[in-house]
Amino acid sequence: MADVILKDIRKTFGVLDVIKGVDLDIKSGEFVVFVGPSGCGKSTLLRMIAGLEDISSGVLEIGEQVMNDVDPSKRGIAMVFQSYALYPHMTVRENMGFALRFAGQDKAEIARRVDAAAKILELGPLMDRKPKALSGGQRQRVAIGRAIVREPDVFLFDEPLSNLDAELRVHMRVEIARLHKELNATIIYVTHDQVEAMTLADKIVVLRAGIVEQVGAPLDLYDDPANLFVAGFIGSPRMNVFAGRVLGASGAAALVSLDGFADKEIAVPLQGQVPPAGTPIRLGIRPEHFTDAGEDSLSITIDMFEHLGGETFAYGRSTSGETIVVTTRNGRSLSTGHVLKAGFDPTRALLFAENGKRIR
Amino acid sequence: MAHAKTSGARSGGLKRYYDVNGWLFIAPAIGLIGLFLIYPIFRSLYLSFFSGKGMMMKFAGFGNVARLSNDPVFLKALTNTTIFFVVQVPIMIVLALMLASLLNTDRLKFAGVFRTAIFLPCVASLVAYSILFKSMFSIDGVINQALLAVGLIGSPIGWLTEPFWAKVLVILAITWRWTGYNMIFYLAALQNIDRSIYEAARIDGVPAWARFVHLTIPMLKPVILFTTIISTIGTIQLFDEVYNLTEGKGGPADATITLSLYIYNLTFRYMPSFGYAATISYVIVVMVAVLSFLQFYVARERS
Ligand SMILES: Nc1ncnc2c1ncn2[C@@H]1O[C@H](COP(=O)(O)OP(=O)(O)OP(=O)(O)O)[C@@H](O)[C@H]1O
Ligand SMILES: [Mg+2]
Repeated sequence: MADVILKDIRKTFGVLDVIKGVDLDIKSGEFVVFVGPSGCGKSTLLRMIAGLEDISSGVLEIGEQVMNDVDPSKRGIAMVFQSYALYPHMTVRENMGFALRFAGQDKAEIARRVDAAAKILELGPLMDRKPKALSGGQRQRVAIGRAIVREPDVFLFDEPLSNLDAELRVHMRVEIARLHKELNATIIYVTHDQVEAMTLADKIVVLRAGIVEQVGAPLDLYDDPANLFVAGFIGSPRMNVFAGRVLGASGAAALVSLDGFADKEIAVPLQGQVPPAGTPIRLGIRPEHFTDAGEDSLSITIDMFEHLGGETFAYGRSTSGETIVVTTRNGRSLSTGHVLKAGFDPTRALLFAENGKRIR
Repeated sequence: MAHAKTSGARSGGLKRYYDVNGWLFIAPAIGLIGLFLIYPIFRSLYLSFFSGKGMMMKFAGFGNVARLSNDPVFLKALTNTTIFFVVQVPIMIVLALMLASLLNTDRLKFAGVFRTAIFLPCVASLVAYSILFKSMFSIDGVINQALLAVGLIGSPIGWLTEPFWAKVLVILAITWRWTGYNMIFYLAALQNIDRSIYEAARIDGVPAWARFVHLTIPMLKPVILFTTIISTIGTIQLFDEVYNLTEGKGGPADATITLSLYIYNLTFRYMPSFGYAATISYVIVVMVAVLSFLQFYVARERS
């Protein structure tokens, strides 16, 4: 078991800054997920922790030991790759036991560990097959098994499920969650699937363009995003964002008007200072926070529906043409062209400054 | 149903084998292949049952095969050819593999330049490089001078005049020429291997030599088999290098004569004995067949 600590980690490829100073503190046994849009540097950061990429500057500690220049095999980590990276000419058993031969383990110990991992992952009947005779999910389990037998302090996963179909992905997600409980190991997991992030993580790290935008528990990021980027990235469909202006203060709440909805005044409760009147702001309301019971409402014209069965995403417009998504449970009675009074609770609306920073 | 439909679409059962238009399309190719490939194969088999010089041939049954075992030049050529491929093919394959792995590391700068330089010999003109080799390896050539200068040898080596060194020279020459060619196959295969396989092995603490022996070589096995067979066939048919380096004689004292060179001499240099030459070409055919089979057998998938 080991903590992983990153201090001002940076990575440059030639003149390209890819990771621009990341500080992170990962506790032993924690399940940490890196999310962010494609190309933001998630894989690069993970590969730096693994030792597959050099660290341009900053300090990486695993288990209270500086690991910047330590060989990947001596960092107490194991990694599972998106492409599985199984050895194609070896059977499942050989794949899992191969590396242990070079770690000075005797045959009996190798067999014991391989069998134990096979049992955890239910690989029993597949042990003498070659990777090409396995399905995607089975290959991924073998790749995880190969990591488990090394008994690492830290597991690194780089988008391990993105080559699987939707159903298998759900299944493997549950498996990985179970594995984390069972092994009680530190896991660092890269994904761009926010459902994986929300369901698996103890702590989510949202990255954008090599910078950490916010770190927090899944529900904290959902309820209390630090900026518009995180607010938009977590939650599906995306949060609705409306441009507007501060009208003034009313007690502890800011009175705001929205450019797309004339004559609408919304009182958003704030903990801190209300910005001066006239300040341009952005107001964020999640689609699922529109309810009939809301004390405030916006009237929108419905353009289109996505019926998912249980719930419906209704896509609409304000009178000035701003698009809005509303999640509703009784969407079947709606029709296009219908004018919907979408009620919402202003205490759940989020206020952001024009530069995207949250106003709390 | 499905069957009837497909054969119907192809205008019905046997009829398509009699469709003259189809045959007309492939007739020129069949004619050329028949004339220049199939006919010579059977003609030389037929010839191998005749003995005699020039046009004076008479049927001899297996007489030519009996003659083989009493012909010292043939035995010499067979020995030389065997030595060449037993020594040269493994050296070249190992060398090509190592060069390919070195060129495949991404830490290497100017990989493209090295790749071209190593590949270039096999597209270089044979005559030009033979002349160059002869001058470099002559008694007062740069190789001898260099070896003398660093004190590796006391007196110059007669690369072209001593039987042992002449063989070494031939092996050096074909290795120089064909290593790059084999390397390209390995390089192509290596670049198709998922990089994360090596990364996974590195993280798991598999040392570099073991990655090469236990990962690279098994993953390249089909390509290694292919290049080994191609190189073996090439070496058994070895002719050009020896011919050019020794003015067609296979000297000194037949020390470098190969089966192909002997066939050439039997037909074009001496009074032609076509029947006997044809017999020796069938020796080459049998050797290639047996060795290819052996190599497939050794490299088969064991389960
Ligand atoms: N070896 C490299 N040389 C130069 N640039 C690189 C290299 N590896 C990655 N990059 C760049 O670094 C940035 C981050 O890449 P990275 O692979 O970490 O993204 P990612 O967040 O994992 O994206 P994805 O979700 O698509 O996997 C990208 O802009 C990429 O082009
Ligand atoms: Mg990635």
